[in-house]
Amino acid sequence: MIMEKALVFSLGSQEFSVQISAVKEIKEWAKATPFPAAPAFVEGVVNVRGSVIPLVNMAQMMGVSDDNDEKKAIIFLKDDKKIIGFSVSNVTDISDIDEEDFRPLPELSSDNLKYYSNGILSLGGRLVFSVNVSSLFEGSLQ
Amino acid sequence: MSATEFTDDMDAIRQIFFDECDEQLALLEEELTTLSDEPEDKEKINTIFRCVHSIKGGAAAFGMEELVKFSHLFESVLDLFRSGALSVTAESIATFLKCKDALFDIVTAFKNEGTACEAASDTVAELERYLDSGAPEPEPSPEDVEMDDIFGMAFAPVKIEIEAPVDQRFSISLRVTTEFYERGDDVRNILIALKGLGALQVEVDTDAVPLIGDISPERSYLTWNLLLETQKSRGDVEEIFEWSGDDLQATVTLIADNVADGPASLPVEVEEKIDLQIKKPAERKESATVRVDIQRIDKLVDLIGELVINQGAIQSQMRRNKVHGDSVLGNVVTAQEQLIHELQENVITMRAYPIKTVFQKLGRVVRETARLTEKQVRLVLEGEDTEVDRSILEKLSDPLTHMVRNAIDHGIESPQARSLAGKDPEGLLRLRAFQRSGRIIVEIQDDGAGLDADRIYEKAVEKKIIERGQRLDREEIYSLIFEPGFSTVAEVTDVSGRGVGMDVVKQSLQQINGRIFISSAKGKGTTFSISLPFTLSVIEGIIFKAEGQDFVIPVNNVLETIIFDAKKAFHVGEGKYGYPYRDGYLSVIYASDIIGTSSDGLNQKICFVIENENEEKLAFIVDKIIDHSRFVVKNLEDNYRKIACFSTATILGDGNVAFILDVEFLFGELLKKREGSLEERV
Repeated sequence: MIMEKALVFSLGSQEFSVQISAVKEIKEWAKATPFPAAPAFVEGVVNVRGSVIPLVNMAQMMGVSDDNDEKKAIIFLKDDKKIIGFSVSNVTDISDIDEEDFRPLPELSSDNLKYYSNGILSLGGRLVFSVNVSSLFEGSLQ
Repeated sequence: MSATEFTDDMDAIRQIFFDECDEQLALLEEELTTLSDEPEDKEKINTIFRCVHSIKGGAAAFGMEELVKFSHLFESVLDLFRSGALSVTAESIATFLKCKDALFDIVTAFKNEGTACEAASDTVAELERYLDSGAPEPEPSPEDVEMDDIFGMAFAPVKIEIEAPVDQRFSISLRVTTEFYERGDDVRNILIALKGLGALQVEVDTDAVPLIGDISPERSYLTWNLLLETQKSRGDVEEIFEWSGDDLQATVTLIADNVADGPASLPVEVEEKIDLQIKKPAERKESATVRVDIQRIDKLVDLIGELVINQGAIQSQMRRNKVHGDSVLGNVVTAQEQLIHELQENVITMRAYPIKTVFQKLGRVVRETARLTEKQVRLVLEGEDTEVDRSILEKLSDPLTHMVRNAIDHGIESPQARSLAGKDPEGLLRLRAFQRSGRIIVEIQDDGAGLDADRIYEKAVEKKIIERGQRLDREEIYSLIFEPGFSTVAEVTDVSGRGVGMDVVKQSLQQINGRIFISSAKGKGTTFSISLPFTLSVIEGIIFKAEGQDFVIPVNNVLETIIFDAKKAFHVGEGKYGYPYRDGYLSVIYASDIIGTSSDGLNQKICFVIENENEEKLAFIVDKIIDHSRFVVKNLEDNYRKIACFSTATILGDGNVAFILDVEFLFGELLKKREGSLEERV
């Protein structure tokens, strides 16, 4: 029974989570500086204390978007080299999770979902897709 | 301490040793190349000896036997020159240089593979010949020498005549001053070095330590009483203390061999546990420097970059709130801006290294290339102390190496040909670095045959780089050698033509915003001048608006800024326009084409006349110019990846990001448009 903390956030009406250790910071959404020839899911680049960081629309990249979804927050995630910002509808809470909460994705899940998510967390009746941070980075840098 | 931490520690210490080896080798190269000018200069030989000696010392600590063996041999030969048994000739300097290269190879082998490589046997044989020829006359030595005398004589230790190596006993008393520790030195280093000479007994005299309430933590109260049994001479023992100069008060007394009570004269026999592996060579005294991790300085540069951005934010807020520049607040902010500017320049110079570090590596390239091509070349370095930002310096080494090889292989003629032409059979290769109008200029000048414009033209026609009959002036013909595909396999020699042409040189220089120019005179030689920015972290740029967004263009690409008169633009093809400029016409690129939004073009009021390295020009049309300023360059690849048309970005006063236009991309677009029209024709 390994306890871990996860950041839970929403894309539209669906909840998702990432491991808290990958979260660098959370900020209020702001418009990014767009650049030409960017993939559709890249909103542009933003300045965070002197670093130029790309801003990725997570819902659009994962193909779970509804264009009318509001974007209220940016979650900045880090891997060993880079920091990337992801715009999300809202940040819900931080939850303790343990292995027993994990369930595999249904067979029928889309390829995209299978690529970005490694399972479903059931947190007291809430259904939360757990998101792979490394997949998010790979997807963003394409 | 866990095992992994221990390995990390060892690795870090090893790294320091290799860093120091690099420094010593660089110094060695410098001293050796200037030795021929003053072969009698004792201090030079001493410095050379010291370099080899400290490499040997470190190598012993890390158990790098091959390195110890070779440096010891080299050191023994140098000792003959130091003592005056042999005198320095051009021939011996050549041997020394070979040895230095061999040392470099061994060190590199240890650094990269962690394993040994043997020194070239001919170099070893050469050294051994010196040893045989110049066996030193043993010098008589006075019984006891005051330490002060030794210090005054620097590196001329007094030899003790010994028939056969017998163990001698020295009683040594060490008193250490506070300055000794302030310099970051440690008695432990001394003890380790002494232990390297023979059996050592250590006793610490704590009599001078006051009561705890009276202790000043900065002060040194201890005296070490040592007893050393060694086969080495007094000079060798005293040499160990010389590093520390007056900061270490050492008294060395030879105890007669027949003293019966020997070790017993030390009441307490405590052998301090010494970990030989953490020997740290003492720092050179003359230059007061601090070794700082480059990442810390990079961080400092970043932070100051942010400060500059914040300053911009304050100023833009002031404008918004209509605070006048000559108000009290305005004056303070202006003074602050000046300070930050100075701070930025200072920190950027901290990251600068003298170009010497690159030049010295070229000494070897010159020697080896000369040997392979059987040419005689004298290398002259000028302005080695010119400082260049580290990020640029790192990328300068390869192109310069290539150009130096080229200059010797293709530029300088064979000794026979030179004699026939009435020149000194020894060719001259001059490397020069200096500052000119905010940029660093590096010149590679040879006194060889010079570039043959006719041959270059013919070859370019042959390689289909130009068409026959195309009219080019001399400079344009010269710059053809930078075209991809100009130097090809047909002229592969051992030395330069390894498939890497001058086009690669030019490309790598462009990556660091470098420009290259050629001047050449037939029979007199060729000069390549490379012009480099001082730093890559700040650029001068013009900020402009296009399609409501701010962009920056580097000012050194902007030839001229003119008012754009849309009526004068004329249609030259599908979506293609020309525009009159002086007595000719330029191709037009609209900013809106690049930014990718459709536009009626009514806002476009300003025309930048842009020129690239190849002196190609184009007209770039934007909406309006906002300001001319210095911008902190942020690399997009740090957190993202390369994107077309903008290689870097900057952060404006309002905190927003603005992209810095990559001028080469514009010319690429131009090419695409041109090729597009070719396809249409086909």
